[in-house]
Amino acid sequence: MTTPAIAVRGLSKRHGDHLVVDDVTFDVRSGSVTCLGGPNGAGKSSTLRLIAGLDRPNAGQVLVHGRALPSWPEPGRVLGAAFDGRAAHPGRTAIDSLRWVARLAGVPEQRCADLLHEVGLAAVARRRTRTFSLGMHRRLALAIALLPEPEVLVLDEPLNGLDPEGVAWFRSLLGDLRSRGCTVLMVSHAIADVADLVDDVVTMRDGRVNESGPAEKLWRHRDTVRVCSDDPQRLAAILQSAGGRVVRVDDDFAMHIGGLESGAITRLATAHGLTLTGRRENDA
Amino acid sequence: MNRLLASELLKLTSLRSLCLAVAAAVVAVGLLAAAVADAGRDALGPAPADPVALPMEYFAYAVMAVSALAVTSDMVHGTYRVTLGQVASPTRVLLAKLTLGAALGTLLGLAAFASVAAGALVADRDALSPTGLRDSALSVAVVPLVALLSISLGALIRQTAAALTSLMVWALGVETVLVLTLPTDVGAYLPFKTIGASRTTVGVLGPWEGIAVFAAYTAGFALLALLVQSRRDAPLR
Repeated sequence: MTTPAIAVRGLSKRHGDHLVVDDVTFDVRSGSVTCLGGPNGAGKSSTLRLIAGLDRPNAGQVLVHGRALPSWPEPGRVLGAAFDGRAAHPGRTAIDSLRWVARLAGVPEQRCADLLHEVGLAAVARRRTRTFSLGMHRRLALAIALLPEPEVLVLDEPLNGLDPEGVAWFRSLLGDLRSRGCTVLMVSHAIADVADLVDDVVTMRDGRVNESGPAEKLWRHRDTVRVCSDDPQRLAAILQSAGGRVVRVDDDFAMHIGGLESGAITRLATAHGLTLTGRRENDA
Repeated sequence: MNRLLASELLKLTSLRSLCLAVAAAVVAVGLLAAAVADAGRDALGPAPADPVALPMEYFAYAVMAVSALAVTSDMVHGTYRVTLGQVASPTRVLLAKLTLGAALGTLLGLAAFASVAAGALVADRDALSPTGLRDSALSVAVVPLVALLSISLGALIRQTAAALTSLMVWALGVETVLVLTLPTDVGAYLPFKTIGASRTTVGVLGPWEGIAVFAAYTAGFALLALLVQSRRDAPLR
């Protein structure tokens, strides 16, 4: 049996009286893209912080490729993390925000310019990050996480603030990382945008693991997917013609679709030039 | 450790506003020294203020504010988190910041002294008395110490406004009141009174003893910050 890229064992974290992470155990397979899902306040980001070694658990442990992260001589080369989009001082330029990390990680500074090009920020390399949009901050945070070429990436809501072009870029980046054998664990509420690239799913609720397993298996058994579109009638017609059914309509823009998995809905909508403004898996 | 120091140095030098603020402070204290020396030359009685000690004291406050700001902004803007992701030892990160603070504080102290001495001498060729020179030597030593104190306090408090307010209110407000209410031989040991020992508490602590006491306060804060940092941020091994 191969060693998992990330092994989370009995992880607990308490903030005062509130147990935000409660005896969480799961594995992230090496080379997989795993989505950590669940409603707000489920403990996903707290778990991610514990995995990245940025917080101290009250109990349990996290092993990255079989060892505790701090025991690796250069932990940044083993696990890279991007949290809540902002990892740069507003008074520092984009290129300098990468240069100091390059020095710290012992990476040639030339890679900073290459990475800015890769994440689509080459044109604003000399701009101070205070002028950046949320989407640009996301891209920069990803560049910082990718700089030391880590084997494992932990991403907290990487799609937040990205426009459709940014989402397309992230999809291509995720596909590229996947093909290079990089392990990715991410928390995202907009998972439908990358559903077809996700291998495994772990869902949390009230600080505990609710379910975990291959995405194909878990998502197929879901009854409905909630989708939002600015043209819901046309979307409904397209999905119905592909075998889907409208189970429920929430409002003028949101509806629940049954009979189709989230990835298929995304593909169909994209193929017909429709933008989904929000998607969410439903339990019932 | 070399990579960590190089990285922390680049963090500081890549912030234009921080570099400009320090450069402006060096120039400003030179101008202030010139103004004080000029006023002293024209005064009929005793000089209104020491043209070296007063500007250097203001410079120490400027360095104190900038040091606290540099540390807290690292924590507030998430760059400290990125550093920890690469190093995984909060103690090493703070030690690097303290080492850099001591080294840069010394260099800035010397730069400020050069500016102050030049400003004073341009205004009044006789401005630098032997006492003034001694005070300036002390003031140069004070600059890295206040930098270390601010870095430690910034690392403990982690909020820019709270750290700056605490430092300024304590140094300029609380101590001023306490020194008036406490017996002189106790008041002389208040942190920021120890570095003004040559002027405000004559007879209790000598100038160099004052510096030694302040260095002890600084060391205490640095140790506390290292201890708290290692407990607060360290992941389980």
